[in-house]
Amino acid sequence: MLFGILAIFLINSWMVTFCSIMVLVFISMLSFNQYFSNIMNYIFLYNNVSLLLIFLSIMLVGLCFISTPENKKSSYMMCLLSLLFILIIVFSVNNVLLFYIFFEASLIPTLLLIISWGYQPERLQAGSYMMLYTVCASLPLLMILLYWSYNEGSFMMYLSTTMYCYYKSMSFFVYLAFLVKLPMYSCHLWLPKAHVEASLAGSMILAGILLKLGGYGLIQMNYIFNISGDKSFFLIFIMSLSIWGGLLASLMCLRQVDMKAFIAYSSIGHMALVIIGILNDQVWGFLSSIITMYAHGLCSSAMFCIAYFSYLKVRSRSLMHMKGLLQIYPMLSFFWFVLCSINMAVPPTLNLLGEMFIIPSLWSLSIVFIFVMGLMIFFSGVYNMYLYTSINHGIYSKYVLFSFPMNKFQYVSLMMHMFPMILFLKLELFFFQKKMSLNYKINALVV
Amino acid sequence: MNSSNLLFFFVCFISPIISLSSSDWIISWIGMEVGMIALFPLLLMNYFSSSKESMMKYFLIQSLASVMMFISGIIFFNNIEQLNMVNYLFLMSLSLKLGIFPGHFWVPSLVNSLSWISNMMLLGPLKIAPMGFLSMLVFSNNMMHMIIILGVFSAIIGSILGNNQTSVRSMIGSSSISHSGWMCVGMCFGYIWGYMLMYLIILMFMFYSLFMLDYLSFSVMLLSLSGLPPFIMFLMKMKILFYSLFSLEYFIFIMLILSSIISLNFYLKFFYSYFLMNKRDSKFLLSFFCLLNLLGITFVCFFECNFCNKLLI
Repeated sequence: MLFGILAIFLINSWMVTFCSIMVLVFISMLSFNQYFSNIMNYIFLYNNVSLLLIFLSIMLVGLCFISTPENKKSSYMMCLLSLLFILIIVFSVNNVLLFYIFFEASLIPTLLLIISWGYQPERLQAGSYMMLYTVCASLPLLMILLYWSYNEGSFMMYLSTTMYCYYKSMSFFVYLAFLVKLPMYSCHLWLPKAHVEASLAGSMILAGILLKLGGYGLIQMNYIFNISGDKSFFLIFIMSLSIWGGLLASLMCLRQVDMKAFIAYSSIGHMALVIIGILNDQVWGFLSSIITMYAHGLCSSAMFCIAYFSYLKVRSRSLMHMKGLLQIYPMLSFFWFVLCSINMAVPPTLNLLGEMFIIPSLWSLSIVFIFVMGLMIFFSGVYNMYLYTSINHGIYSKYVLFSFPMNKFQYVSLMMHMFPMILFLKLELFFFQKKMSLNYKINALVV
Repeated sequence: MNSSNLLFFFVCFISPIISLSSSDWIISWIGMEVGMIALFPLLLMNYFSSSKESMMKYFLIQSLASVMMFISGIIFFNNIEQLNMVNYLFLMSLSLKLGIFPGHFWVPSLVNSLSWISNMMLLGPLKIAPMGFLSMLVFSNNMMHMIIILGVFSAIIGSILGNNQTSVRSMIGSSSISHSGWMCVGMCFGYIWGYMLMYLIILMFMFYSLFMLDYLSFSVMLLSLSGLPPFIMFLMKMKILFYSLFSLEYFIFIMLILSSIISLNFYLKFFYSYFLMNKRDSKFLLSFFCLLNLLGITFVCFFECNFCNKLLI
């Protein structure tokens, strides 16, 4: 796959790039059949989570190419392709240092996407926000990783022999980089800014994959440091902060007027589930967070897509100006309906499974979490319905321009976003074999 | 450029070689002075009205530093009596020469009024010989702590000064203060010369790309200087951080990280303006160097860093 992308770099044609991305999508689907197993070699390591996320990232980059056919510049393609290259390496690498380097490196093509194809001059500030937040949070991680690898004598993350609770006091700094990336509430300020200023492809990629990078990082850090199992103060603090923050972000959604900021806050709410699922360190939680990452990646990217397509009709992203789309563009409001219902997790979708499977894992923590979680799910329903009704119902505003019906590429892009959701028929893809942590092994030896 | 300037260029490049390869400290000192004298005509190359003034400034400061160094060096190297004051005087003169913390004030204002090529000579090869002198001081334990403190301070002060600048030249000047601070820390923990080599190469390509009005590669060099991960300077910074961690100096580690975060702000600011100004396609050589800049780290990691002991070599 990597070599495929490197080959595309050399050919600067839109058609060739697009076709090869589509081929890569199918190749990455072929490698799905790894249940309960890892492939590991000197540099790379694949397990089913990483293969799923690689598939997601290739798919979303392909969808970016579909939904912005008007932009066929070679610099744009280079930007997206280099981002894809970096993401594939991040999701498949075994070396801690390379993981860190490429985790950080994914910032730079994103920054270029924001600042070169954004709309307003504020995009520079948004880019700086994003860079400073993530770099600030991840440099302590570098310190801990270097310290760890110095103690281990190796950078291989899956050869970890770290003792349980050894890094307990540092667990906050270990997780901080990824919590900012995800983002957890209270480290989230860069995300709505970046989304509002980014162009379509920028926000699709940002919501679709880059947030999932944080979730994947949390999983990897659990592997390396073995700190997730114990219920230390910091861990409980982070978990409760994230779940309350998810509730607050859902409430914040209701007072947004910008559609993109709306969707960004809703994705902060969903990411709270991912954080709590991974940090609680139970199989159900892992399952739920992997499903949520996958489903939310496709769903939020589709939401950004349709927000952009409606923006093209009305030329405004404000909820005040965008009303009554049902009268004029019924197909558009059909897609709004479907996407909003996917986002609020109605039954046959993957999002529902994600929200359901988190409940047993939360139950083991405390009953309070269940209440907050229930409120969060309720408000996620509320804001999605609010979004749908305020856009589609009512008398259409005077600002709506006369325009063409939706283009074919727009249909294709939205349909292709929904197509991989069919994977709920094949749930064993999401099961994730947790590494038996070392203290279990030691206990077994002692017993 | 006339032929005499070519000669002066040659002398400028040969002076660090003289200094570093001689076994007598007087010859080293003379090599440094020769480099300084050869720089003056190069500073006047572009006939800016301000460059005469800045040349005078440079002359006064550097000759003060040389005299201080000569006086303290006689006592320091002949072991007449081990006065602590003399060591500190020697360090002070070196800090004036290098533009690190107590003597950093001349750098941004001087650099602001010079042409690209003279800046390149000023910030580049002429720093090698004083660094060589500085590495002699490291062997005394007391001085080592002092050098670390000066290095950390100048790393932070350079990054704060850089946030204050509006012109590119003075930004590069203050970033050079910050990088000299990193080098001082690297001197005490190891890996100074690799850092310096990479810094000089990037600086040289940076001034070259500015000279050729190639803004795209200039912006890439800026990001590289800021030490963001995929670029080659990150590897150098990481090695210094690794060595400081190896010596269990957590405080220094944290201060260095802080300085690189503060300096990232202004690097990004200048990166935006140059990246968005980019109109022309970049030259092949420079874009090739950009690619190398990006991929160097990858190759090093893939082929060297799988086991951590190799990083230490």
